[in-house]
Amino acid sequence: MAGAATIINVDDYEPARYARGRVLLHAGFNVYDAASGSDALSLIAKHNPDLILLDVHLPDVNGIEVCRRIKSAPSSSSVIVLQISASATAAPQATAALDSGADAYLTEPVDPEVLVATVKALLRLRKAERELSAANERLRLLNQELYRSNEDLQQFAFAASHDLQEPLRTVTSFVSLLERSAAPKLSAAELEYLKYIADGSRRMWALIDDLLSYSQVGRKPSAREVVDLNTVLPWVLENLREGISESGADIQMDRLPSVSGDEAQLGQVFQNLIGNAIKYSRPGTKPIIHVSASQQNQHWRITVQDNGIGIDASYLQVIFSPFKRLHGREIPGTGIGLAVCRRVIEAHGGEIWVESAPGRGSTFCFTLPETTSSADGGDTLVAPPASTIQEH
Amino acid sequence: LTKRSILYVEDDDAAALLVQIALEEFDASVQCYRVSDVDHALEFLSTADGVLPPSLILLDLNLPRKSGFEVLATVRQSKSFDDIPVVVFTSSAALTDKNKSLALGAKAYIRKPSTFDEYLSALRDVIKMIPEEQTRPRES
Repeated sequence: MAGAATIINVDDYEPARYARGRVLLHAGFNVYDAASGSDALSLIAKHNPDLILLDVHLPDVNGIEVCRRIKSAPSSSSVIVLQISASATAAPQATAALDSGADAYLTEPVDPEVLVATVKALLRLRKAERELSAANERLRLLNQELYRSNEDLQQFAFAASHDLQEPLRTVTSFVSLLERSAAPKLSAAELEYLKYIADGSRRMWALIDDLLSYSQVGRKPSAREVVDLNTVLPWVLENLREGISESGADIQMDRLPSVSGDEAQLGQVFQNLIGNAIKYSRPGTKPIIHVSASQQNQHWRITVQDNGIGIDASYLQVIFSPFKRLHGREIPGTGIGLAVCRRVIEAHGGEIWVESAPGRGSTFCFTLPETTSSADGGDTLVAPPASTIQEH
Repeated sequence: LTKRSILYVEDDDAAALLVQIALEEFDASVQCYRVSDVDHALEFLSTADGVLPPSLILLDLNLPRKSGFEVLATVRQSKSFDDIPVVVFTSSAALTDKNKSLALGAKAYIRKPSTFDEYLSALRDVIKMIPEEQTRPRES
């Protein structure tokens, strides 16, 4: 009888108990009989049954109370309770039994075949539940494992780039020193070799430096504070000073909101976007870059618009992937800037995308959730006067 | 006349050599004392107390055993050295390190360069931060 379900058959009225027991045995179940509530509870503890067929009127403990105890004990809460009664047949009694945790309620007279079919249906349901919860558990474990391996990978990327940086810095520094001091003694060919070493090591250094900042953005839980973006832009522009003055870029800045997030990371986003706008300007055309903000369904939408070379429609998605570049060496860069932007914005609960066409400039847009606090200025954004920062 | 000097706390010989060469190219009159960990830095300062204090401290953060922040904190709390400018010179690009350094009273935070030209310009900035003369008389 291995694999057959175990049923506790409870009724103080012996003929009824006997008849049901016969039916269930005949249907292939393991059946244990009990004549009282306390007997039923001790049989449950002993046999760990799948189902209890439970009479409502019992001499000691009421069937509804027995059901409540079964369902409230962790060891027996998954036992299916099928209440059955020949006397308590009114709707309120059935309702009370079901409310106390019974899985089903039958009133006598019950056709033996209906009894067996009901028991089977309830067992089927329980089996499906068990399978579902086992599947859920497997999924949870897999998810946990995935999370852990992702953590490991990020930790690895961070550690690798961090530890590689130091020796590489030594190489790049001494190569450049050698370029200076040994140059007069070297032949033209040797100087060229040295130049290749210098270029290669510098490029590797830049890549590793970017990999480090990219892995740091994902690794570091970003601080959550109210950040007034109007105070972020000045230091961003200060960091970009050289590029701005070389290109003569005209940077127009509307009033920006306050948002919740990590100031350094949000500043990095602006720095990368404005830096790109300068880097990918049209030759011979002064870059005009416009930073603005608008409000739409609980989000701020921030745009950085330029008049640069623009981007072909087929690349609008890929440019946000790490180390994806559309240009060769003629424009320096490693292709990590926009990947960092995407990572930061997504960690802040927003989205980033670009609208562009070749020769028509690009507009990078990102969203950030509105702050819930009614902090400074950001919420009352009125007719922003455009301030212009221009350097020559 | 007080001789201008730098106490350079650095465990990486390569970086120390680059700083030394860059410094000599700029201003050979600036004496550079190099120590390679926090304990030696504090020992140098305590023996130099009132006698030969450095005009500036150039400080790496990632040092063996103890971090450079300890030097920074000690210098800022000390009555004898609190006017010596400390310039943090580190490979860390983390903004938390920068903010912590400035909060602890560092005069500047310079990221370690990756070319010799950048070493030169970094050292030029550092030399500019050396005070022209002692700002107050030292107690003996």
